[in-house]
Amino acid sequence: MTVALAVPAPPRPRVMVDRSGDGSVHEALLRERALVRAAQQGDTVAFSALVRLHQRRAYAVARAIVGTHEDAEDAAQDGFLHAYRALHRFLPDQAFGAWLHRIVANAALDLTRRRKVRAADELPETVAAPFRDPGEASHLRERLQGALAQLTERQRSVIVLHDVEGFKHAEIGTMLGIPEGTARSDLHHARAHLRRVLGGLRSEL
Amino acid sequence: MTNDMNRPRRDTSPSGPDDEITRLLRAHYAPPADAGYWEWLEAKVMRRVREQGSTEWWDVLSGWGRAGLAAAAVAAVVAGALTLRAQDEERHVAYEAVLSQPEVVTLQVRPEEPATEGAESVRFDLPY
Repeated sequence: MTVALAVPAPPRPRVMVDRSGDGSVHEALLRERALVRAAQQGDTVAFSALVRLHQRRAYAVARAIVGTHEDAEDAAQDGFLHAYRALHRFLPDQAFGAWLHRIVANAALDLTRRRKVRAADELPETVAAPFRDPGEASHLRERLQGALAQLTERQRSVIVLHDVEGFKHAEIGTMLGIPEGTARSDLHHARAHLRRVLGGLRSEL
Repeated sequence: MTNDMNRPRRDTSPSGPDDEITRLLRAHYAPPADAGYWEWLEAKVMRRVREQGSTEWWDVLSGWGRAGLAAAAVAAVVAGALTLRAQDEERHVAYEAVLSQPEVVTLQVRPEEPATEGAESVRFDLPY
């Protein structure tokens, strides 16, 4: 499917962020819980509403881990499917988003492992091309891709989940199955590396 | 005091994020902006969910089928075993019946009209 490009945007707000302070978060949470309960009882329309609520974020989590749009799409779908199967195990007092993100992250990690096994010895590790941003100079994109390719997969995931998606270290640790301290250290090294490699960026912008 | 105190400060520490790099990363990892894409993705997820639901239904049925076959096989084995046992028992009873017959066979010798002189017939009277 051909998709349009997204213009670089500020960090996307989380689904439940209360910017109005009028208790809409509480309402949203109650609505979400009602949807979860209905979905647990087999209501696919309710599950569909949950997919609609969380798919952007789920995609972003997957994309941070797998790197490519196509794989992120597959991992997000797999994640939702796993979540649907495991819905009866979800406890209503948990945060549905956090639970789902963990499942999606697992699906993405699983996909990455499978891809690695399949592609072993065939291709060098590369960061696949992202959506084309017409406003971005191609050499900058190439430099960024080159710099990202030099990071480990985990460092790449951590910096994207933290700096792009706004997750906290602890949340990233839970999603990737690593200690919070490791996420913190990965972030530090990833930032330092990108800063070193893309050092002259400001003069080019 | 100015309002600057309330503004979020830019993290310029060596380990903090670099604004320009973060901007590039956001552009690189930007999700599709087209609403149609998300509708399509939702529909695709739900199609897979429903397919899985119907698969599970068939799985249940085939599970029942498998259980039925297994139960039938067990029943056949049990029935066969019972039949064999019954036949064996019947044979055993018959054998026992034969063995429990009186050991002594009474013989009666009854003289019949001799067809020829000096000839005699022997008749066994068995009790069954």
